[in-house]
Amino acid sequence: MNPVTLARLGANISLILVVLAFLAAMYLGSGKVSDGWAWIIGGVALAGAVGQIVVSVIWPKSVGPAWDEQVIETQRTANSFGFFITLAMFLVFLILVINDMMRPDLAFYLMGAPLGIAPAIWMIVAHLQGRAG
Amino acid sequence: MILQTKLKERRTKAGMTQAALADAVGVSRKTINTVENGVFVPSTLLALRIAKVLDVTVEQLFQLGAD
Repeated sequence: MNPVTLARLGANISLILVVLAFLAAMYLGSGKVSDGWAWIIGGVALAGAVGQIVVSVIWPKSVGPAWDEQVIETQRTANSFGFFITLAMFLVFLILVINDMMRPDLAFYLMGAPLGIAPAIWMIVAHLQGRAG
Repeated sequence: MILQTKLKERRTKAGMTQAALADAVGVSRKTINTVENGVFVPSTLLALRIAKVLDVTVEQLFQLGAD
């Protein structure tokens, strides 16, 4: 497999796993989690990005095929998917917060989950369908 | 309108694998596969590059089909 594609896939899977772990911790903690999770999730996302850059520098000829026009189109669709999922969750959480059914800080934390992993999920599904490098 | 393609037929006739064609035009093998299967519609630029590598015209590779 193309090393850049592999790095991108690994970054997306890592991000999804860490966000799922965060959601599990939040569930087990009855909505209360350490602020350290923000650093962990951010760190994993940053490491994934840095990893892709490093791999791209080591294997420059793999960058073009890994980011060809089909992958770019898929990435744009993934970003749109993430936007609309986040927008939908924002509206749901807004209603819940206004009606005192959810704490604002909890809603804020949970908003980060779809924002972070929805595009990654889309890219992984696209990869399995052969539409992402 | 749907796009009908004879890319697979032309590629096979040229004796090229999907991977070899992908390398020649600078895309992934999977992109060549999705173009051949009609899942992905290539840009004009990519269509021209593929046609050049296979030494055919774009019209010999892609045609408009009925809905």
